[in-house]
Amino acid sequence: MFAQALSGIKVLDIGHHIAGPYCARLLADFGAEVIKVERPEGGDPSRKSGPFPNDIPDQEASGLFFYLNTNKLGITLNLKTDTGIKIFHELVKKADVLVENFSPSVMSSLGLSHDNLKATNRSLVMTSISNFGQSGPYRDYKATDIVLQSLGGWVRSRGETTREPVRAAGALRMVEYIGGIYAATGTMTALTHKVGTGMGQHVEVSLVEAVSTMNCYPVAMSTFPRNTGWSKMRFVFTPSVEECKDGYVGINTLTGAHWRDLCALMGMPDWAENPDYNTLTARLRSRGEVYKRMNPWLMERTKEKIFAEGRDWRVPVAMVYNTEDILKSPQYQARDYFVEVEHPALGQITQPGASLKMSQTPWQIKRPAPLLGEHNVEVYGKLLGYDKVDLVRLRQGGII
Amino acid sequence: MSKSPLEGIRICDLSTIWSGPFCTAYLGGMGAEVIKVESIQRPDSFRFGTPVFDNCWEAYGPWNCTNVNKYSITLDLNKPRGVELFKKLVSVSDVVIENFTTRVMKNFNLTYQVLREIRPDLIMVSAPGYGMTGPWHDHAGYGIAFEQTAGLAYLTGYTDGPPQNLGGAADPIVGMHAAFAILVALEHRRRTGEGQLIDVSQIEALTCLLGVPLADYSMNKRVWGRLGNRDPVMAPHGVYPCKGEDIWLAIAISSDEEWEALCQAIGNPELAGDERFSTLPNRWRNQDALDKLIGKWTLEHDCYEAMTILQKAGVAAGAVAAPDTLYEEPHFKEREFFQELSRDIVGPQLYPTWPLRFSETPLRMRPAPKLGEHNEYVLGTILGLSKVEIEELENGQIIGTQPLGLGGISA
Repeated sequence: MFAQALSGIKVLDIGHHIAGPYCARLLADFGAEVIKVERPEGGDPSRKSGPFPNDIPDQEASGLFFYLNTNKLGITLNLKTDTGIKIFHELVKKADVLVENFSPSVMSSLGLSHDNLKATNRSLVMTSISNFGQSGPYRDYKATDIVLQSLGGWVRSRGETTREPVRAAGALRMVEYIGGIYAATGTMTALTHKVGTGMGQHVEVSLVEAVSTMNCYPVAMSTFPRNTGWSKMRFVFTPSVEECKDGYVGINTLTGAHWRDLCALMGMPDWAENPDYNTLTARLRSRGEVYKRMNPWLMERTKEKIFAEGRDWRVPVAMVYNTEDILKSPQYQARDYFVEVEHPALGQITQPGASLKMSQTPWQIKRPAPLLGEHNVEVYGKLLGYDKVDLVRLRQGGII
Repeated sequence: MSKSPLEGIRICDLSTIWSGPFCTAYLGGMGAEVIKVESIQRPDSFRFGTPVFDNCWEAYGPWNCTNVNKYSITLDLNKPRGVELFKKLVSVSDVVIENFTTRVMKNFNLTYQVLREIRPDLIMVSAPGYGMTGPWHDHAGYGIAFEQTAGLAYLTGYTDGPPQNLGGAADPIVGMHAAFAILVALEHRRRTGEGQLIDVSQIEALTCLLGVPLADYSMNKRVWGRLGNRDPVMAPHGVYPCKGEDIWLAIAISSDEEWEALCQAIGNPELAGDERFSTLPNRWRNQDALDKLIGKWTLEHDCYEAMTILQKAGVAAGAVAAPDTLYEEPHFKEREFFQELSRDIVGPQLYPTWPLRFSETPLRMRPAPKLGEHNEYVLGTILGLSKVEIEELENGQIIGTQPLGLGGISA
């Protein structure tokens, strides 16, 4: 195996659930040595979340934990004990990066604030991800995906005008992944700075702010008041998702030219320049009539056929894929996107491949997600020099 | 003040619309010298989002947001002199980023293979929508199309309705991935002296968010569908109508303790003893009734007032905020997420920043440049052209500051 871009960079991941672990996973995929630190009792709470094979709960077989913690070493450590904290400082001394996503008050209450850790390791990059950031009036508010999507201004922009607005991506908890991506980019930025200066720093990520950057158009409209009307619109048509013969397609007309080309494609050239239909707001008003004319055309065609015809006319239509469709897609397949990962408790699982293809330092799967405490001996032994007797003692003391 | 992390890194940026520009705006804020390359023949089509008026290409909010922290030059890459100068710029750049469909860079004869000859340790990001290879490599698309293809739109929408668009999240998500990849590639170059090509498929980067549903499919052949605002492991869970028109509050209850706290907070403690709602499975089964009860309470309350009451009781609740007035939100305000920048033509406006704070190297925001604003700086100071040569370029329309035509978006 050749060295990857981030080989040799040591990352301590004391994250839980999605955001922190996903950040550390992105670093691990490009070669960083990530040590996932879990509490001895039950580990990362994501181990309790499904999906499980045959829906039978098993802390070693969570699909969520598996995806987020592939490529990491796993150790256990009880941070609620003095010895645990002492050992944690020893780990921090050896680390380049620490990733955490506790509520803002937790790290300080453990005596592990950035100031404390800086004293242990001046060049440490500490990355903290939280719902609302480390400051501000909502700092200690409780939140979940839907609460963050709402306060970040994203939910307001989606759904039928006659119904309640609706969140993005259902049960996926998309916001936490996005926070992980921001955190990974922020961490790399701080590592770049550290290379030049030897100085570490504290990087913080706010999930609610991350949400607001997802809703880019309406949020950006606020900078130029002339455009605010557009941003108040919840349902837009077209662009929109429409039903066809065997599923759904996206009719993604963004410009005037797209609409004209779509009219040609669908055999309704008389509407190309008609002011009742040729703008976003006009189409929304005439939605019923447009459906009357468009639907028969759509329902006669499969999504494959509409996609192919759209390509010929250079209208940006797309097939609306579910997970099963994605796996069968010729484009993903031609690029060998998916990977099979073998895990002792889960068996062979098909997983997303590289987020980006880097020609010289490709993304790699080196190991499946760790079992709880799987690498205690390796990490505490090799990295910190603890011997077998020490480890037995720590285990008996409930420290690891 | 500490040195910015990316000081000394020069990025030559051909990218348009949102994803690439979002990436480079961030890197610019972190100290990289980002040179946005457009042409007066074909400026970034994303500039044309406003009605037509004087200098309207400098006025579109989304463009101005996404192009902060950059320098701007124009170069007609359809003319040999334009290509020659572009190559000269690449020879002194660390990174090139572009997000055209694959045929564009081939037509200009400016592929990675060609540019690497000029700058052997070049890092290049190519981000056509569907990737540089495969049957769809030359197919045009936008963020919403990638969200549909990548499996995100399918999960979005009402339980009883069709999939819905996310509205363009693909662009910033992919843009941040690209920024991450550039930083990884810079680290590799620092260690080895070697550059590389980064092939970004927007759909692939997005499908990386679907590892869990894919695992579920692998294990149980289950295909995830739409749940509206409901959640498989929480109930009640949704948005509830508040006082006023089209005003909503999100509430999510993940445990029995939170449920009891909610009942207390809405002044209905006996509800906690109601067997229909006593456990998560019971609450889940009886969500319709539950939603009506909660909705009755929220409807009598101002949204932010209700949020405060519930948060004080330890319940996850959040107002469904309006995106275009987020800058008035007290939390965003106090954390200075929006920063005021003054720019010609549009005057002072509040611009969103990034959800990141650095203790030692704060983000530095500069307003977006005007078209060709830095022609002299880049061509003269960096590339060493004389005043006369620059004038010749202007006369030959290889560079300029006024678009030759107004085309583009008029949705």
